Amino acid sequence: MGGLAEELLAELNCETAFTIHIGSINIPIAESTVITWVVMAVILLLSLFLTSRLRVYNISKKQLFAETVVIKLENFITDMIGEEGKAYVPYLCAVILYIGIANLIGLFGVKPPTKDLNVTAALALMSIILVQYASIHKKGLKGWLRSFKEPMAIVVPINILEILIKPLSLCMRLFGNVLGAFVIMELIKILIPVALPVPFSFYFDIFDGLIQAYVFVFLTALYIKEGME
Amino acid sequence: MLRLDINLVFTVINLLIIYFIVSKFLFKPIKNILDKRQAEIDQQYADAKAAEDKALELKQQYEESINNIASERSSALNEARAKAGAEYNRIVEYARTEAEQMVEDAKRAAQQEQEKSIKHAKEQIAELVVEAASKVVASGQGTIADRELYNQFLAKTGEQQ
Repeated sequence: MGGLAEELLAELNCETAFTIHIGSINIPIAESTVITWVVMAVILLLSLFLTSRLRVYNISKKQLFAETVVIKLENFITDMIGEEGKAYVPYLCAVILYIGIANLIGLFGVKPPTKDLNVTAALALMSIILVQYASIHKKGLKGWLRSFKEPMAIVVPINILEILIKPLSLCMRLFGNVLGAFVIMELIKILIPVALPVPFSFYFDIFDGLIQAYVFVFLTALYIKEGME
Repeated sequence: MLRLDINLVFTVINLLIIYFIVSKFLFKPIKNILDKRQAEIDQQYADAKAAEDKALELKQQYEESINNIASERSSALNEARAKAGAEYNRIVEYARTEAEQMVEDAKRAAQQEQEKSIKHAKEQIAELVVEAASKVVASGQGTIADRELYNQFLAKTGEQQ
C-alpha cells in the first residue's frame, strides 16, 4: 500500500524538466511549460497545415474543415460574449484550444499541463486582466471605478474582493478538476491496468477535459460581458 | 503539485504566443479567404443588380418608344386625315366655284347670243320693212298687193325666226 501512495505522489508531482543556469541564477523549467511548448507546436503546425493553399473557390476538404472549425468556434464564443466583445473572440478561441488540447494530451500518457497550478493560475491571471481591461476600455477609467459601487455603495468591498475571487475560482476549478481526474485515472491504472481504464478515460480525459475548457472560456466570456455592461 | 514560481510567467508568455499563433496563422488566413469570397459574392450580386436595373431601364425605354410610336402614328394619321379633308374641301370648293363660273359664263354667253340674235332679227325686220315698204311704194297695187306683201313679210320673218 505504501508503494501505491509513493507511486501516486510521484505521478502527482510536477517535476522540473530541466534547469537553466544563467550565472548564479537557476531558472527551473517545469514539465508543464515544456508540454505547453509541445501544445504550441501542435497548434502552430495544425494551423499552418490547415491554412496552406487556401482558395476562394473549389475548396479542398481540408479547407472546408478549417473554415468550418474557425466559423463554428467563432460563432460559439461570440454567442457567449455578445457582439460587443468580438475583439476578444480570438483570445478566447486560443484559450479554449489550448485548454482542450492540454486536457486531451493526457490520453497520450503525458501529464496534462493544466494539472500544474502555474498554468491554471496564469490562465486565470490573464482572464482577470482581460476582464478588467475590457471593462476599462468600454467604460473609461472613471466608469470602471464607478462600477465598483454598483448596485449600491455598501458592496464596494465585495466588488473589490471579486477581482481576486473570480480568477481564484477559475484557477482552482480547472486545477481541481484536472487534478482530481488525473488522480482517479492514475489510481484506476495502478489497480487494474487493463480494459477498465478505457470508459473512465473517456469520461475523465475527454469529456471532463473538454467541459472544463468550455467552462473556463464560458466564465471568462461571461465576466467580460458583465464588465462591459 | 502546488507550486507557483517563474513558470507562471512562462505560461503567460506561452499563452500570448498561442494567442498570436491562433490569430495570425489560423484566424487571419481563414478570415481573409472568407472576406474575399464574400466580396466576390457581393460583387456578383451587385453586377446582377446592375444588369437587372439596366434591363429594366431598357425595357422602360422600349415601352416608352412603343407608346411614342403609337401616339405618333395616330397623330400622323390625324394630321393626314385633316390634310386630306382640307384638300377635299378645297377641291370641292374649287369645283363648285369653277362650275358656278362656268354656269355664269354660259348664262352670260347665252344672253349675249340672244341679245345678238334679237338685235340681228331687229335689223333684218327693219331691213324687210324697208324692203317691203319700197316694194309697196314701187308697185302701188292696191289692197291685194298689200295683203300679198304682208303675207310675204310674215313668211320671211317666220323663216328667219
